[in-house]
Amino acid sequence: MLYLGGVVGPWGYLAAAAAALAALFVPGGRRMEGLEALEYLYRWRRVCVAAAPLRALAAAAMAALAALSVAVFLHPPHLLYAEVQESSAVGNLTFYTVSVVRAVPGGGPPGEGVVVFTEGGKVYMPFLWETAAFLALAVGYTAAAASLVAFWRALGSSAEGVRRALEFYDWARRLLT
Amino acid sequence: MIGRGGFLPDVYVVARILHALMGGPMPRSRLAAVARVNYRRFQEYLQFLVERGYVTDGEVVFLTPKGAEVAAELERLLSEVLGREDPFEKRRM
Repeated sequence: MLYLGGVVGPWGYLAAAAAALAALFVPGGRRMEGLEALEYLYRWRRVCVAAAPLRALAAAAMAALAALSVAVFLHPPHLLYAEVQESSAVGNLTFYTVSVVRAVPGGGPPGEGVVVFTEGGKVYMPFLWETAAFLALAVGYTAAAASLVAFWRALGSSAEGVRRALEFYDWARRLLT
Repeated sequence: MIGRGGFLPDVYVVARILHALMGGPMPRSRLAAVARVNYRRFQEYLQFLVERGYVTDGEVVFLTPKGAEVAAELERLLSEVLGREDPFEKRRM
């Protein structure tokens, strides 16, 4: 999406790959005290069951993102938009900002990616369903991957922790009754 | 562990209260904040602890010798479960 917006160049993809790998390998997680940690795990014990599959999913998503980013760096996408005439462009087009215009020629031979239409200082181009689908996929995938990683980090490696939390709960309940 | 009137105390809240009182007597309002429950709920916990002889109630709440024993035992359990000396030290789980 940033590439389409003309904000980042191909090196941005390498940065995205590095960020994806960092999200996987840099230690993180919720920092808690002993009793607080046990309580947290006890309250979320049912959700914590999902920690292992979440970890696998998050790792797969981040690995895919890293691989895709490197692949796109090596083979930048070729964005080609067909030129349309002013008369046919009006009324059936979507407004794009100037930043999009800068991105359009990227990756293709000079002159092949063309901004199609400008009028009154505004820039227009044909609405391509491929573009919309790509943007939707990119946004959805990024959000899903980030959510997976965040959720997994919040739960952490919790199977053992949950077991201990339940153990403490049982002992303490017996003690207090 | 059902108390008076069907009150079902949370072990972790009780542990927080007893641990806090191990540091010395505390005013009710401050103890309620430590317990992290609303004041009405806190009063139920206090009633529960008083009925069992763990604390004495007043403007300031005191831990009784029996309560101190239970609190120490809870800390011991916690240390055992967490496998380290000071269960209230910062750690990552």
